[in-house]
Amino acid sequence: MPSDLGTDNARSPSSTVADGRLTDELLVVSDVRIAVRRRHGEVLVVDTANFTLPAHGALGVVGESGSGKSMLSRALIGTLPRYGGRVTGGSIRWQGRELTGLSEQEWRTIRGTEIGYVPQSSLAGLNPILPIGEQLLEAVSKGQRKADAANRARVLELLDLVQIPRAKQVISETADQLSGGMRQRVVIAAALAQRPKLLILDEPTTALDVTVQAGILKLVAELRRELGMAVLLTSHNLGVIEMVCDRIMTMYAGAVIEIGATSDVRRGPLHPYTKALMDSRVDEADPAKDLLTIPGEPPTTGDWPDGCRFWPRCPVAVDACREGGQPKMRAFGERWSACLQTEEWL
Amino acid sequence: MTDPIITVADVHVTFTTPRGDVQAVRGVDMVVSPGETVGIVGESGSGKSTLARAIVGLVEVDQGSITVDGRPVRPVRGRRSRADAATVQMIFQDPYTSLNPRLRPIQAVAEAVHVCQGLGRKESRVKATELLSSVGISSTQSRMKIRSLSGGQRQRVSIARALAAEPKILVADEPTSALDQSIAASLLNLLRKIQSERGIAVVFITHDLGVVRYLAHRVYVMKEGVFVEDGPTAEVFDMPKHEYTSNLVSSVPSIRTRVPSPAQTPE
Repeated sequence: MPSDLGTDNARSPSSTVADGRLTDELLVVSDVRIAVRRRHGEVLVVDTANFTLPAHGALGVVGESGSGKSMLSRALIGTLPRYGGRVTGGSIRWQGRELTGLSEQEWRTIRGTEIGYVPQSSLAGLNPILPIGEQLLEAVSKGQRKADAANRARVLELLDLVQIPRAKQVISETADQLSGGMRQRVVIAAALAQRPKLLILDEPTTALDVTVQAGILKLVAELRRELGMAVLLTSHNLGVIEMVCDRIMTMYAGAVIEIGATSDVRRGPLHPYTKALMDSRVDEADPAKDLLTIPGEPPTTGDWPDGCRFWPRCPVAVDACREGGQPKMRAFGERWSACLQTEEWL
Repeated sequence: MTDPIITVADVHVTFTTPRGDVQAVRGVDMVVSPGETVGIVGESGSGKSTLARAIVGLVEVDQGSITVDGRPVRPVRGRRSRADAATVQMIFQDPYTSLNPRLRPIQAVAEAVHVCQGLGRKESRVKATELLSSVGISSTQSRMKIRSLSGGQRQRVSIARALAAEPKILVADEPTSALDQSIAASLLNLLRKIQSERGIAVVFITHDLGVVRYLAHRVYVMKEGVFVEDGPTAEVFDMPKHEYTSNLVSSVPSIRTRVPSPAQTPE
């Protein structure tokens, strides 16, 4: 194992809550449920989310649209209300402190300070007409835009950290003068301003070209090592996650269904959905054969089937899979799977 | 070798914008054989979508020529002739804007059959049902409003509508990039099936190297309005000659290349 960070990255807390070692976990998410306001009332978009993240860990959350991965990451920085959402159950413990139920004022002491956040669209994270330097000053001085020597030096240091060349010129430019990749680097620089212990990136490279994407992901991996912070990265693209994360967490229809070391999951996923995702990857497919596909489509939010939510599309489902609620995650050594058939189909 | 069905010779396309002229395509040559799948891969701003639009006559070429099925392509003014429509059809990236959401698939496709094949109302509907079923849209789905279909289903409807013209060429501009992976995979299988069963030539425009490697017989790599490299897909991906191509390929480490390059260390 090249990394000493890979082994304890994301345990399912259902067992570790009783485990004394839990104290060094940065983040412990237990039975979190998230609901979003829709026209006809509230709809659950995430439930049974259970995972933990240790200091320095890098967890990749993979899932397709509607899996709940973005809502989950918004719950971790307290911005759900902006999307009409709220945490309706469970707990999110950050360094021992409960985050669910915090007021906006309390969130401000955590969001952007202890937990940094990089959204998908770099334009959403930046003001298009304010010079980059001013925006970073704001991030450095917690909104006061205080231009003393120390803060100015820190701004240049941050631009250097995210490997932006000619930083002294960039500070007087505006976001629309920069390329998409440069903008995303500036957003990352702003997110790092208060030296967070955890950086959350929600589909950070989806809008970028592949060569630019590769540069950003390499930067994130380097920053994580250099700054010793934890990373939580969501993506619909397994390839993206593999470039940064040592653990993969799969979500499907609002539920966490598998957690394991990236290398283990690559070698042999425990959940049939993760396996199907791997098998339908076009980048690794044999052009001589048809792509393996998953029949049907994911269930609509609010219209999840009884039992395991994947059973209507699952090749190994049995009667038991169609009954009850979403199956709980079970441990298989250092790995976790919510598939009732894990032992049978492997 | 058979005569090419598409010949692009020294094509230039320039757009006039408030900030001045932009040369989107700066002199490209390309040939496509009947029944062949050709990929044009490039990043944003490379000019690949502009070239695709030039091939179907949606933008004006200001230098050079494009010949499709023996006829020169002229920019579309008003409606295209039935013969042009029958030769080339285009599928767009966004199935949410390329179809009228208030129509039902059966209406959208039957209309295309009626216009392109000149069939009567009833025969058009029968033909449309066949086409929709061949792309995996059930008869129930074909009677639902398009707005209530998923992205993958809408893209299938777009394909059925394109096939209504019985085209010899399908130009697909990023048809899977707005879709989830599991949905995209079955759509790619469908495109391959159509290509091989109907012998249609496919020009596939994408930024996704994985897709192009999987789907295309030959590939053109486009950068800043010109092709920097072209050739059989496997050759281009396994032994890129141009630095830009090797940069692209190495940006997607998971991509499966068949011949390991010397720089690659075995695991």
